[in-house]
Parts: sequence; C-alpha cells; structure tokens
Amino acid sequence: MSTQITRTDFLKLGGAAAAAAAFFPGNALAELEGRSGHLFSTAKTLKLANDKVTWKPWFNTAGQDAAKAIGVGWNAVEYADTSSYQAAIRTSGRTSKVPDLYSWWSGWLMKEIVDADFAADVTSIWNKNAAHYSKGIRNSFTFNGKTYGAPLYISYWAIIYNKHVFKDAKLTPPKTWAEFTTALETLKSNGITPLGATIDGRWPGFIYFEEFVLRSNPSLYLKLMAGKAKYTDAGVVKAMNIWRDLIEKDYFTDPGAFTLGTGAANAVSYLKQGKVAMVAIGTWFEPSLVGGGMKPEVDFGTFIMPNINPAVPKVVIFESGPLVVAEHGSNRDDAVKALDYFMSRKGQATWVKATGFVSPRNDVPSTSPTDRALGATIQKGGYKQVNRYWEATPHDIVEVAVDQFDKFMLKGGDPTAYLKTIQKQADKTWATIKK
Amino acid sequence: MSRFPSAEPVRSGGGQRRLRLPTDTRSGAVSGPLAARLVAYLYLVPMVVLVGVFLLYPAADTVWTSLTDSTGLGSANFVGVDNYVNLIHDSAFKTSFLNTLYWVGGVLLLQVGLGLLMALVLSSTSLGKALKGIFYLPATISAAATGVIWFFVFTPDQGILNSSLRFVGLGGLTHSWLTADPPLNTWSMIVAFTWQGLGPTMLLFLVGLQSIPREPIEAALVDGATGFRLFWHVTLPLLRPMTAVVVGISLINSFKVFDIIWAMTQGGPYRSSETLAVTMYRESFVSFHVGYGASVAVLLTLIVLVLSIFYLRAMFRRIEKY
Repeated sequence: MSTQITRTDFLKLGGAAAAAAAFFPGNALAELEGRSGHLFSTAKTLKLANDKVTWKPWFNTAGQDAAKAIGVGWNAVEYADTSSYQAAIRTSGRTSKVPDLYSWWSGWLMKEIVDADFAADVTSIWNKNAAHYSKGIRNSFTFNGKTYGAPLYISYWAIIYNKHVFKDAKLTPPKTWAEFTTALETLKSNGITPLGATIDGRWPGFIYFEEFVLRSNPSLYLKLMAGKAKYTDAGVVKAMNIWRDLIEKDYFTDPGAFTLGTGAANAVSYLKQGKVAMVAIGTWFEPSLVGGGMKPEVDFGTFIMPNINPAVPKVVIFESGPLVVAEHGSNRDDAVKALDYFMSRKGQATWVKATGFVSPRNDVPSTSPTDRALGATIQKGGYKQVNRYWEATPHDIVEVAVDQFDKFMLKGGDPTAYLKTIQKQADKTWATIKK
Repeated sequence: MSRFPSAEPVRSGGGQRRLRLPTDTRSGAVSGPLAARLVAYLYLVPMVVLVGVFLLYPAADTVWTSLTDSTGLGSANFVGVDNYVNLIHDSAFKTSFLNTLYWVGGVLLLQVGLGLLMALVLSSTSLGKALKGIFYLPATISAAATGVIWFFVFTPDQGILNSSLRFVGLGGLTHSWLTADPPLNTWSMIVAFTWQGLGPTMLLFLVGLQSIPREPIEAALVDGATGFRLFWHVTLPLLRPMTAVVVGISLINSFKVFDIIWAMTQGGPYRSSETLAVTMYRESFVSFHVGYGASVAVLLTLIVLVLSIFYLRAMFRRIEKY
C-alpha cells in the first residue's frame, strides 16, 4: 500500500475540505472560535443578530473594540428582512441556538420577549450606570421591576427644518404654539409646503398623532398608552381636531406623494430644494440629509414642537431599541460582560464614533452638531423623555391605529369614526392582556 | 405483441446494459416483475420525500395551526373554528376577498384576453418574431422588481404616468394611483401585473395557434366564414386545450399574487389593497397572529383547489369531445 499522497488524492482531500467548508453557515468559524475561546485568537467572539443591514460595519467595529478591551467581542449576523428576523428570534429564543446578543424593539414589543423568557435580566448593569441614563429610557426596558437589554440606539423625535427657507421667510424656530402656527401660515403664503407628512411604509401615520396629543396633554398620552384612557376621550378628539384643522388649512404635503424610504424617496430632495420646510422625524433621518448634501446646523436644524397647552410639562419623544442578551444563549455570561462594556462610557464612545448616533449616556457627546444642540435643549429645558407610540402601546392596537391615521391623513374629515375603530381594537386587546 | 415492453436489458452500441422500465402509460401504474417495480418505485422516492417534507407536512401543520391561537411565541391553545368565525366577521377580510375577486377578473380579462388578442395579431404579421421577444421581456424581471418599477410610474408628483398626462394637457386625469380610493389602487397594480404577465400568455396562445390543424380553417374559409365568425366558431374551439392551460395557470396566479402588491403598497393604504395572500402574510408575519393567518391560508388553498377541480373537469370534458 502506497504511503505517498498522489496529486489526485491531494486534490480530492482539498476538494472535500472546501466542500465541507462551503456547507458551513457563514459564522460557523466564528462560532468555533467563540466556543473554543482560544482557537484563532485570544478574545471570545459572540454572535450579534440584527435586521439593520447597513449597520454591519459599525457593529463589527464596536465588537472588535470590545474584544480588545475586555476579551469578549462580537460579529454581526445580518437579516435583510425584519419579518423573517423576528420569526428567526421567536423560533430560536427558547433554544441554545439563539444568537448570544440580538437587537429588538423596546416597550410592548419587548414585553413579549421578556414574558417568553428570551431576555436576560441585566438590572445590575443599569444600577451601575444609573446616573448616566435617563429614567424614561430605563422604563422602556423595564418590566416587573427588572430591566432587560441595553439601549442600542436612541433617536429623539423633533421637527427638522430647512434653515435657508426659515431665513428667507424671516422665521426663527418657534417657542410657542402661536409662533408655530404663524410660521405655518407664513410659509404657506410664501408658496412653501410647511410640513412633510407621509404614509410611506404604513407606520408613519402615528407621527403627528403622538405629537399633537403630547403637546396638549402628556399625562393623557401616557394613560392612553397604558390602556387607562380611551381614544374616544375628549382630550384625544381635541388633539385630532387640531390636526384636522391644520390639514384643512393645507399645511401638509400629500401624504401619498411625500415618501421617506420605500420606493421613490423624495423627502430629502424636497427638504433640500426648500419645497417642504419642515418634517417631524427621528434624528436617525439626519444621515440621509447629510448624504443628500445638507450640512447640519448650516442647512438644517431641529427644534421640538412647542406645547399647544403651555401649562403642561415639556416632553420629547424618543425611540430606542435594545441590544438583548439571550437568556438561553450558550455564552450567556460572556454576553452579559459584553453588554456591560457596551453600556460603559468607553463602549458608548466607540459606538457613537462609528455610527454618528446620539448616545443615551449623558456623558458621551454626539458627533453631530445638530444632535448636540438638541441634547443641550433637552437637558436645559428639563424635557421629560417619552417612548414613541410604536413601542409604547400594544402592537395589535398600533397596527390598526396606523391604518386609521393613514386613512385620516388621506381623507380627512371628522376624526370620531377613526378613533372609534381604534378604540374597538384597543378594547379587544386590553381585555386579553388584563385577563 | 405488447406495446409496452417489460423490463428487459437492452444492449446498445457501447455494450452497456440499459434497463427499460415497465410502465403502463395509460394508467401510470407500474407493472412487471417485482425487482423492476421496486427499481421504479426507488426512482420515485426522492420526489415523494421532498414533496412530503416540504409540502404535505407543512400543509398539515398549517391546518392544525389554524385551529389554535398560535403567535409563534410560547404555546398555542386549541380554539377550534374560532379563527374561521372571526374571519367571516372581519371587515379587512371582506375587503381582501373582494380585492382577490378583482384580481381574478382583471387577470382573466387583461392578461388572458389581451394575450389572446396579441397572439392573434402577431400570428398574422411578419413582424411577429421580433415583437414576440420584446413583448416577452418584462416576464424576465422578478415580480418584486416590476412592483418597484411601477411604483415609480405611479408616483403622484414625479411619476411618469402623471407627468405624461400633464405633458399632453390631460392634467385633469392625474390621480394618486396607489393611494386613491380603492379599488383604483388594486386596478393600478393589476395593470402592472398584466404588463409583466402578458408575454407568457401571448406566447402560449401563439404556440396553440400554430398547432391548430389547417384543414378545419381552410374548410371554414371555403364555406365563407371570415373574421370574427371564423375565430369564434372554428379557431377558438380548436384552441381550447391551450386556453384551458392558460386560464388555469392565470387563475391560480391571480389568487396567489403577493410580491407585486407587497412591493407597491404592502396591501395599503389602510389595508385597502390587500388580497387573501397578502392578508395571510400580514396576519402571520407582521402581526404574528399565526393561527389566524393559517386560517386564511387554509381558506385560500381550499378556494383555489375547488375552483381548479371544477374548472379542469369542465375543460377536459369539452376537450375530450374533440
């Protein structure tokens, strides 16, 4: 029997090895690395699953930084489609095949994950960092007194406006409701559409609803989110009628024509060209404006919509999604360590540097001058932070509500019928939850 | 001598043995010696496994899921026919069902009807060969890509449709095609779907027209039948086998349509352009009412199955007459 390896044998072996490697899923080598801990490097590499495909390089930068700092890092596992991502986490959550870390949504969407025991309790990390994270943010990740997940990102919702359009119309960011409505009328008479409104993607229907309710009566908003108030209550109807009034005065774009992200997105070009003066949106929209050639604080700025009722407290809407440690993940303890670092000042500084986002930590400044200005406004003005509608109330209600708000934006008219339909769903949903 | 040989080794030129399999082509049953039959069944096993694992088992699981309140998370509780009862009272489902009927009607009218018309026109011109290729091109694009293209076409402000109408002075005819009152948004999407699906139906009809024997046509021409009479009384009946195929495929496709709707409107605005397939997806994977979504899936399957059975039986009965 020959002990020499012939060329054919070598090729066969090589081919077999290549074929075997090709069958391995993308991160198997990282998994091997992670499991053994010391196979290819000295740091442990966890899996961080998410549905934010464009964030992959940022995740990996932060993961490598964490590996250098504490010996535990991560690699991003991307899902291109939100629905299949949610399905993947839901089906694997109870097993050890679940990714070690994964992104999710806060509030009621997170409650499902917590109730199903998919998320690890990280209250201790939050206690450690309590001085640097606002209570409002912590509340959106807290259930039954325990806090789960770290804020992966935070966006504040404000009015982004074109500074040149304002300057030409001799306007400054309004501080009262009267100034705001004056600005709307001035812009309209100058031939500019004052406010951008959209139903592109279905979900934006709630944007102006939450603004007008919060500016009228924030405690009513919070009660409504918790099912302790009804959509048909007088306060909510009043807010909707204010919205209706502004629609009838033609202050909004055609919501079917003004698009944000799906298909032909024209929001950026309309804002840049000054066809539309303002849009209520999250600060995550800023990179799109920068990409479209607008400079922060030079071409665009932000202000928070002034209260309709000057007697109520000032609030700012935030949107935050958690990075969750999988309770049943095979590297749970290491994942908690990784989360601890992510929430620390160093971890957040790296993250903010890579993404350009706002950090939820009050001692980590943003790289964007607009976000720094907004952050200063929020701190100095004593704004209370409130979770956005999408996460603040059960999703079954949200789905029906955005459809009704979309219909209201397109067809207008008496808001009572729309609110009745939403309340019908709310009654059904709260009944099953309170059971 | 039997027309259907049993399995016998046959020596071909290379001296290798080839096994001719025993089949009775009329009934599809396998007959012959046991060893040969086993070999024949072995050839079937991979497909049976694939169909069983990826079609039959999930289908059975879906039927079971439709009888539960599953949300994809945690345990599912048996609720009997509650999901089906709720479906009937759901106004969104009623809209969805109506839209599906619009799609069926629209596809049959536009895709099949126009496809036949174009096949007739192309078969009588010399340009037919070149135009065939051009008309077929849209079918090579994915339905999702078609949806995105037509989304741009229908965009109210900058879309090519409204811009063209304004350009020729017909600005009064502009609409918000995809967000206007239903069912305009559904019909707009049917137009996009037709643009893509016209090629294949036209091609199939062309093949059908070319395979019609010349003798009945010539005999009819001699008898003085021309134009529409010739088409209705001679050509169309002879085309029936192909018509059966085209209508059958179009019927099933119109019930199934999902990707083009999802790409253009996601079934909106306010669920006004959903069809049964879109409702099924939305309930199952957006709202995670998995049990409810499964009941829509079962209902949709039953509708298509029953329709297909009745339709095919009727068509084949008529075909056999010829």
